[in-house]
Amino acid sequence: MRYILRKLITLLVTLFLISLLAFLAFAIIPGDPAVTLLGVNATPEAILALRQEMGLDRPVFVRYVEWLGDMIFGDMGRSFAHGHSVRELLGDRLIVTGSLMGLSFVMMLGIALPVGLLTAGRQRGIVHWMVTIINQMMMAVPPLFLGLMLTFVFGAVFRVFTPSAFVSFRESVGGYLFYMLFPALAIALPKSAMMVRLIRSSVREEMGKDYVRTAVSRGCAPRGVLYRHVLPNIAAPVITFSALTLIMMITDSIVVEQVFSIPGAGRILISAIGTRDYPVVQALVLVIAALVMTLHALADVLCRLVDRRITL
Amino acid sequence: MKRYSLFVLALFALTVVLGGCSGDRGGLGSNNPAPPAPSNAGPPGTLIHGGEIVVGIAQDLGSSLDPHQMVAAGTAGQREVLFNVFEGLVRPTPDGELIPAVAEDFTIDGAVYTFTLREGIRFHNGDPVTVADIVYSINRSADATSVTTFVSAFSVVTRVEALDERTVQIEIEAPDHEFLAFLTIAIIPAGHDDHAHSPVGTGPFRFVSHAPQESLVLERFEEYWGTPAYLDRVTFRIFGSGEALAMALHAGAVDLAGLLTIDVARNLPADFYYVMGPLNIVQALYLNNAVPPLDDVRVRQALSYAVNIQQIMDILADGMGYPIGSGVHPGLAWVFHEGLVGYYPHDPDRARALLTEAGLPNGFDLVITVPSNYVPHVITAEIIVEQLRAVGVNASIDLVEWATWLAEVNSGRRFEATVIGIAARDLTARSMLERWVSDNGRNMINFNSAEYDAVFAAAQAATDRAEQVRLYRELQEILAREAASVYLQDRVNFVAINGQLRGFQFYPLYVMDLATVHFVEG
Repeated sequence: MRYILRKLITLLVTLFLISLLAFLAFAIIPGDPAVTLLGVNATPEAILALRQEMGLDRPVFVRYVEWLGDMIFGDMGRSFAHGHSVRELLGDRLIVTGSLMGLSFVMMLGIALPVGLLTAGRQRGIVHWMVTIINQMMMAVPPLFLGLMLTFVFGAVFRVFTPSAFVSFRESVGGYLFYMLFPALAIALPKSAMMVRLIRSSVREEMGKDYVRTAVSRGCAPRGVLYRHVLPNIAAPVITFSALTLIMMITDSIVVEQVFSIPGAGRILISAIGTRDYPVVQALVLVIAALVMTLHALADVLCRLVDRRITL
Repeated sequence: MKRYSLFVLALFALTVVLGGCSGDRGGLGSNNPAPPAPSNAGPPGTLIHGGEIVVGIAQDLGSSLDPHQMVAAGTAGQREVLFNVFEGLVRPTPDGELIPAVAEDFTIDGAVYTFTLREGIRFHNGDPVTVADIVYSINRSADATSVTTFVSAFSVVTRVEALDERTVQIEIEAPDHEFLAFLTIAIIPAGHDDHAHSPVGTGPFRFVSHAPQESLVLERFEEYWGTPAYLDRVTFRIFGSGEALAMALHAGAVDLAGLLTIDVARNLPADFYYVMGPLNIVQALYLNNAVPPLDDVRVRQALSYAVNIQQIMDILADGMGYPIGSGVHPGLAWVFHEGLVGYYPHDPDRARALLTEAGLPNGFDLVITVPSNYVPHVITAEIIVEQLRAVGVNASIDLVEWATWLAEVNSGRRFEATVIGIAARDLTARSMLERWVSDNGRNMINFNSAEYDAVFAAAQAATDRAEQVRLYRELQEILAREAASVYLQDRVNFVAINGQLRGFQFYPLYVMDLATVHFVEG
């Protein structure tokens, strides 16, 4: 209970600092929403007037306090670039990006756990070498490139799916999931390679420990030792790594959304930074920061549950 | 050694995979010499009514679909798309003429314009267009207190009046040959309150939906007053990047897409063809005339002699492009000054001599600020850097994102040089030329010439159209002589089209007219 309270306070303080920093960053970098909105044909008079209309002529701290006040009461403001309220604009996009991350994560576990555990016992021989080589290759390919290759091979050559023909989950859940399969694969493959590597090296390390030798000398079968004694001990690093991976998938999905033309949170984040649409950026930064911290805390709690040696 | 050959092999394999579908299948337009004539029609075929197409665009549509905001601030992409939804009292034709649209007929008597409302014309929401809507639309654009919808060309409007149920009179301060071109501004219903998100117009297509960064859907307007559109439905799909768009073209997910690179255009799938036409921009190495040493006309002329325009066209579009010599694009044929093309032939010796004369025998450092999202301009800047090096000018590129470019270069004027294309917003020479008047708010290059200001004022006051055209040509001459910037070209717009589609037309404006596009049998 104290742990949760402590984490909650840290979360609030961090969110406050992050939002302040993001706000200040926008005040420092060149360009502002009024100039961007008016575009190439802007006259100084029009910029001045629009800045006034949008309230951008007031000091940055006044604007920050005002934004913070609204935020506390749940009002995320209105997007400068799209005119819609931030809540309306981000709702579906967060679901899209969230489900892309979730799908990638499930896919990663689905690939990495069987491959890692089934081959963990074999640390030499042909299987070992094949896994190592394929793994190494997968780890070296960034999701961006993998995404392009997948679109090219499955989209342009075999025409299994239509690139860019994104189907909203509001139209068809099946069509949506099928479209998301390929971007999720682009994210999941490199990550599962890392996971396989982690599982294999943790198992190898653990297998060399004294308790394993004792168990084997007591007459336990090596496979039984692996599943009954070793696995619970490597659960903690695997969970921690999973949480880290899920966090890294946030950035991966930002990249992959561009490649597959998915209207998710990542794509709007990039364009909102480009148009200096700070209400949108602020909201997304907060969501991402809260997500990162929650995942960390969740991983801690899970580790504690599977491994009694860990204290929170 | 072994590792090296393996690398080469891998590279080769990748080339084969990636280049698998290449080969020059660009239908009609391929291998045309420069400059390419706009090729509008495709191969003949039997016309079909109906059908749906997907149009790919690689740039977001931005905040608001309000047509009046669009004139003031909209992105080129917005104008391109919503050209199909809105019409003004008059509308442009592919030949650059103005024909009646919402108005059935009009007369111009000096500074007084009298329009007769088209009988039976309706808005997309079913309401009949009334003279009140026209008065509302013109007044809205002329209202200087509303920053985002104010159209500066309307500041001369002194009176908008409905004389009877079908007649509207607009009076401006003084007779102006070009004012009619501004009356292409959209007529919108006075009672409607959400122009930004559910636009209502009178054009051949009506707005259905818009999901930011996703798509914009249009449907044929059945009650259109003129020749109705052929297609039932058009979906503009918005892509995150040019690469994603190219990939979708390859997969057959897009039926029509413009602004392509020559490589994409030449590597289309077999069932596609491409056409070429002007983009209607003035692409130039714009120079900040207020920054030394660029404040010396000899230095600017030296840069103009140093740049090899043909080489830029060779690299960007296989030698194709529409050469220019001043600040007006060739689409405005009646004022375009053809005699200025090649005003500064490529001549490095002369460039060096001019630099020496200006006291810079060892050249100087020059920073070219380029928006990173416009790849053709970035490539152009890279070529120019090499060309300037040959005459001793040490140029470097500062890549900035679009918002920074707008703030620093376009409105802040804190730059030395930049490569960009200035697009035509309407069919007037004024739009292209007035920004270089010394006290104009959009004069980003700080061009300052008393002679230019005087001639521009005279052109505005000219009551004779021929005289006005002569003065506009003189303005172009001044820009060329003073080397206000290094004028390069109007770039080629490569448009990919599904083999079953015909009827695409180029305009001397940055628009995409889909009303004439249709499927054919076979």
